[in-house]
Amino acid sequence: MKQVLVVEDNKDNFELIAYSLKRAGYEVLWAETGEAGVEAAIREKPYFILMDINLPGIDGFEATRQIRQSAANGDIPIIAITSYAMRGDMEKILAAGCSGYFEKPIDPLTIAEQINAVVRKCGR
Amino acid sequence: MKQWLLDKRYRVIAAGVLVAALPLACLALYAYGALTQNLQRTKLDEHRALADHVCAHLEEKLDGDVAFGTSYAARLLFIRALLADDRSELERHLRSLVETSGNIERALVTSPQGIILADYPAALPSVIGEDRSSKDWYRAVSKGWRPYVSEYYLRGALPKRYLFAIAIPVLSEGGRPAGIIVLQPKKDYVQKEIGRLGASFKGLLVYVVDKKGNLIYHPDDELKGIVDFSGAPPVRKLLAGFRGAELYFDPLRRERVLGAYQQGSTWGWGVVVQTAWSEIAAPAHPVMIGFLVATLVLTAGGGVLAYRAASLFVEMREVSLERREERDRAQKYLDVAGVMLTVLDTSGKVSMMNPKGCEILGYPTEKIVGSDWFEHFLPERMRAEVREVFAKLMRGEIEPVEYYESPVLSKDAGERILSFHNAVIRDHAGEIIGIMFSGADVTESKLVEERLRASSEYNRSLIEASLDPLVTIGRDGRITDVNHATEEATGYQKDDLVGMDFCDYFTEPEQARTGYLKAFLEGAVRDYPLLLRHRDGRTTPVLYNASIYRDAKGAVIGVFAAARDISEQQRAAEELRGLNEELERRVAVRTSDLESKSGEIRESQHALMNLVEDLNAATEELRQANLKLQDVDRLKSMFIASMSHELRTPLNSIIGFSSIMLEEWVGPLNDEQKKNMATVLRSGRHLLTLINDVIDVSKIEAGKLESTAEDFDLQGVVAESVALLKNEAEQKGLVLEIAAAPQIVHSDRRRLLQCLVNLVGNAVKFTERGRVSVRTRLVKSRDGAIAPERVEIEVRDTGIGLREEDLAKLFVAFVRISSPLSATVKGTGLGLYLVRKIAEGILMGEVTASSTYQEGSSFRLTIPLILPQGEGQ
Repeated sequence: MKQVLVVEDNKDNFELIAYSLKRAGYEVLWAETGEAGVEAAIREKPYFILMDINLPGIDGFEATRQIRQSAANGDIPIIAITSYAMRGDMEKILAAGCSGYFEKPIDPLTIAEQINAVVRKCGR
Repeated sequence: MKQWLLDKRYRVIAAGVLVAALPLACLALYAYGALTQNLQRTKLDEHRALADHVCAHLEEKLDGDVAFGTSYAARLLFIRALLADDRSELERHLRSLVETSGNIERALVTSPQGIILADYPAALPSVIGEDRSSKDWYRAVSKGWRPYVSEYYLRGALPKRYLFAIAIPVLSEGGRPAGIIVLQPKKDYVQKEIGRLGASFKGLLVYVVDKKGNLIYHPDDELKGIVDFSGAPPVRKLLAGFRGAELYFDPLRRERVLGAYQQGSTWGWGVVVQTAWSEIAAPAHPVMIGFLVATLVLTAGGGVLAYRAASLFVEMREVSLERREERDRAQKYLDVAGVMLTVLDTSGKVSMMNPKGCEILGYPTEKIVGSDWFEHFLPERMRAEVREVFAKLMRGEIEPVEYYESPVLSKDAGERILSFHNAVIRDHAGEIIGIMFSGADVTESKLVEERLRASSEYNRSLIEASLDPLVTIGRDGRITDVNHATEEATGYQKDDLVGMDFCDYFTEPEQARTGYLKAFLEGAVRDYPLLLRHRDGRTTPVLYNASIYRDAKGAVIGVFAAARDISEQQRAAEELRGLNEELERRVAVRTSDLESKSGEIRESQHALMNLVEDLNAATEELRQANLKLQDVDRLKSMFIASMSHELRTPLNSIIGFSSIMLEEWVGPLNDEQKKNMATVLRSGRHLLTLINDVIDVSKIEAGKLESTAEDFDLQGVVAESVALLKNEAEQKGLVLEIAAAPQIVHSDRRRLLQCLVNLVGNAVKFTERGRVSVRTRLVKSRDGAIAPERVEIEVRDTGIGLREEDLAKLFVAFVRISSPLSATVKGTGLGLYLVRKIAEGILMGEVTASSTYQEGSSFRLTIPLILPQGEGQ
């Protein structure tokens, strides 16, 4: 079973996403902060990462940059989840090294399908 | 005989005095009578004019203050405060009124019933709530609601004061009485006004009474207790309706006075101006005294003349008696005289020579008398010359030289020098019959004198050259010598001056005496001021410098005094003082001009200040309202910012979890659970829509909604919007149809979709049966260009439709059209408002609606095919 990492500070949001991903056949790892996310990404080398941008401590941009800089994780798909307020920051998100992004609110019924489409585009 | 003469002399004197005095006394009495009568007439006219002037001025002043109060009573803010019975606000107004007026001491405002609502400065103990309807100002104002200047009224405290009140009605809209403003002028109100009229009132008594004869103002403080002046003669006349001026007896002053009385026509105050007759008549007294003095002087003059005449008469009688004795005595004088006494007849022969003369010449009397004077007794070298002078003298062609020195020949001692005094002798007819002279032998003293003169002439020339009057004074205060400048300054000749009392030539003889005594005592005085008196009466201010001088033995023999004329300096100082006074007078005149001008300016300023204050109050209200609005706006922004994140995060959980439960990811649900969960999901979604709409609206209104233009197929967007509402339409059994051809547009896809979902959603919502169709078509540009530039998307339904009058309200925020469905159909009332805002502000197009009630509606969204760059937000 493929391991995926969800970096999300809100437990409710994480659980909702986790339902969708588990149902799609993934093993879901959870990191509550940006720092924990970077550490987990380097240690576990997940199949892809869902990254909330708005995080306490280092934010999603910084976490993405650090993950990209570690040699082993250069090509992991990182998919950003942005809050409503950050709409329009697409270029900034891609510049930080993300492979794609979704806006909240996420629809649990369709999110897994959409993620798979992005991951496929990344060549996995 | 002598006694008789003396008696007669007194009779003549008495007659002279009577003749001179009687007509003069009559003339003086007549002049005095004419003068006082004329004075009385002039003064009466003057008083009448002054009374008119004061009266007119007071009336004008009262008019001004009534107008001031009336203008304040018409202020909206004031009337509003009065109607609202806002006491603190009323007090604030009264304070402003008192402070701006300058001559009002206190103001109060009552209800139309005369109950005090507010006062300033507040009385202690408080009078608020007290009834003043018994006051005469209340009774007068409430009769016709017109301003009234009150009668004199008493204040409770003692001593009583002259008080009056200016009562102004306050009328609200429609002229209904809202209250009364009562102004209580300052204590010195009238006094100040009279004072402003200036110096023409000096020495005049001016007092003011009200229309009932009560005293409003009297300069005499002692009269404070006296109220009723209706008994005073001029006031009695005023009350009887007379105006004028006359001489009458003032019982209060117990003397005759000259008074004028006048009454104002508007406010009814009476003004009395009066002066004591004794004061007016005073200027006539010096004239009377002058006449009396003149009478006395002339009378005395008559007496003196009479006395002189009488004396002459007596003397003529006495001379004949005494002449003989005198002749005998004269012979004795001749015999014992220490000088030569000689008489020559007209031919120059000696007709008389006294014993001393014989002794000097060395001949016996018989040898001298009858011989030629010139031939025998003058040195030969001067005989011809002297004889010629003598001949002229005898013919009356020249006057004799009174004093001269000349040599004579004596028998033994040769030439002797004699000092001569001459006098021509005439007979009764005035014919010259000879000459008489005296001659003193000065041969010895002459030699001494010659020597002295040589040294003193030098000093003398110095003294005479001085422009300052110089005088020497002996110990007894008599003048011993003067120079020419002294003659000029006094108008007397040196000979007149020498031997006279030094002090007689000054206006202050005693001061002059003190001056030279001081010089004797202290050796000198410096810059001693005196006024030198000239013979013709004019005076010269001088400063004296004096010091003592001594004789050869060192004894003090006199004072040498030099005067310096300082009249030029004094005149310069006088002119300077005159200029200063003129300058001060002009400044005073100018200042009073300015004061009266500034009074006028102040009054118009008051009116202006009232206006400005009203304006400021209104502006302040606006500013407060504006601040509140800004506050509300800020709260709204904060609210929206927190909504966008905090409300949506839990809402996402509600929607997300309810949807997976409904899909039975976590286990099967029974029918009831499914139905409940569906309600949760629907409500969550509806709530999210509402929140999103509200946020969008607020962003649009704040101009913060951004547009993102891209190329896309219009047909695809239409299909997407319809697809989103497919389920709902199917549930209601409606037909949803699309008539659209593929068409690429460059616009904001997301916002276009939002508009279409809204329009289609509304159509589905308000249609119970029939169909909802969406059509697109290209629209030609208005100026007839060939290429189409715009596309129209029409959403048509067969729903309940709209009334004509509701169409206009359709695109307005938060307006929901009432309809049979409105109770069951949910909505914020923001949907169409948002559509219009997006269509116009983002898509740069427009949205319109048409409808037939109960048949259906049509909404048309028209947008440019290519969104203009840089526009849209």
